[in-house]
Amino acid sequence: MSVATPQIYKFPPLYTPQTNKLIRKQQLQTWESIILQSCAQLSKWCIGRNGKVYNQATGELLLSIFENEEIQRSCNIEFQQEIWAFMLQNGTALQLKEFEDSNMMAILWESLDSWSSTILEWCETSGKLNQVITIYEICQSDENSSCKFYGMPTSFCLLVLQRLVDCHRATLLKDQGKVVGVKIV
Amino acid sequence: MKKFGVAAIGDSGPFDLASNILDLQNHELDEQLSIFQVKLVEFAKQHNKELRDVPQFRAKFMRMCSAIGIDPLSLFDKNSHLFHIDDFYYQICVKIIEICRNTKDVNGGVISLEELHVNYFKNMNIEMEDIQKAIEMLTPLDGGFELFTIRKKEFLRSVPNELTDDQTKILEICSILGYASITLLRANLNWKKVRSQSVLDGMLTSGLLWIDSQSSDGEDLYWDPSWIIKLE
Repeated sequence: MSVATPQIYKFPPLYTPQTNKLIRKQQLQTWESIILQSCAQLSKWCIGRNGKVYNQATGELLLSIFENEEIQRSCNIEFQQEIWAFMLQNGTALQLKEFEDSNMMAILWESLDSWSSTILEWCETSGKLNQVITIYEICQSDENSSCKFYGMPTSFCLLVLQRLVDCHRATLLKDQGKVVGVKIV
Repeated sequence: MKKFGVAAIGDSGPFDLASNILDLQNHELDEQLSIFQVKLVEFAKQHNKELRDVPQFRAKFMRMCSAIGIDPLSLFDKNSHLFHIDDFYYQICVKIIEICRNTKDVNGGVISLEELHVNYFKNMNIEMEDIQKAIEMLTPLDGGFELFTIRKKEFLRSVPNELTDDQTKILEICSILGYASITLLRANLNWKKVRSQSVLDGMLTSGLLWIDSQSSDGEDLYWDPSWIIKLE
């Protein structure tokens, strides 16, 4: 699976931190949009801090965003950190609690609000309102395979549902502190 | 799971129904909007003279266009002189200034006309000559917009600092391979290291060039951002 990247992805100096402050900012923004676009195209919500995305089932490497073999350039660790810091600050990336050890970042190629309204819409159109559904049913169930949120990791989905809870559209059902289901009204 | 009411009729029944209706509505809206746009353009052609003569009418008309998402530029028909022909170029001027301001942080205020044309104007049926003419019209504004030529390719400079001869020469070198380096400058222009280094550093600081420290032979390369559009 390959991703379409903008022309600037093949521009060698993109991989070296620029000294000019304004340009550096522009460069970080460029990286941000490349990461967001690539994750959106692959429908991946999580990416390693090293920029690598694996296929969960086969373990195959899908993408290593900070390395461009074609032009023999890559971002060094410091610059990668800087890009993540920039994205964390912008709220386009999140460090999820359960991922802290494994160095994974959650990428918000769409905002949590927009995900929550997508799920709400799905509930409304598929008649899932006012009944208890499991997280698995939302993210993994085969009947949703055409939905945008199909394959969303559970922890990410919980963040989205929390949005609905905050605006009183959902209640989370917990069992021994673990969320087992949700009721959307 | 047992289903009640309408949901009991068929598995995908209500889901399809709802999305069908939404699709239909979307489609209708799209259609109406495009009809309205066509009518508006027709109207503009019919009442061209009044539009041209009454500035107030024109301003209101333009506001209406932008409200429903018509770029005023797409309304202009150069050949049939829709509106006043100068307005067409004024609109291009505004667009050019906008683009230059937006891209200033990437290219340090130097953009090739090719990039302007390909990235921003091509889909609006605006020719290279139109852009050139519009840029000429910017001169009286004294905003520092200036055209200059490097190896037969025209560039637009939108920042008021003049390029020195040395800087222009470096951009010339860049237009061949996309980058310049101290070795390249010595080979082509016979410059000493100090001279190359100081000019290159200056251009980095002003954002005209981007540095790349990962080349295969270990030498720093200085890239011209206008090369980006040439990458496949």
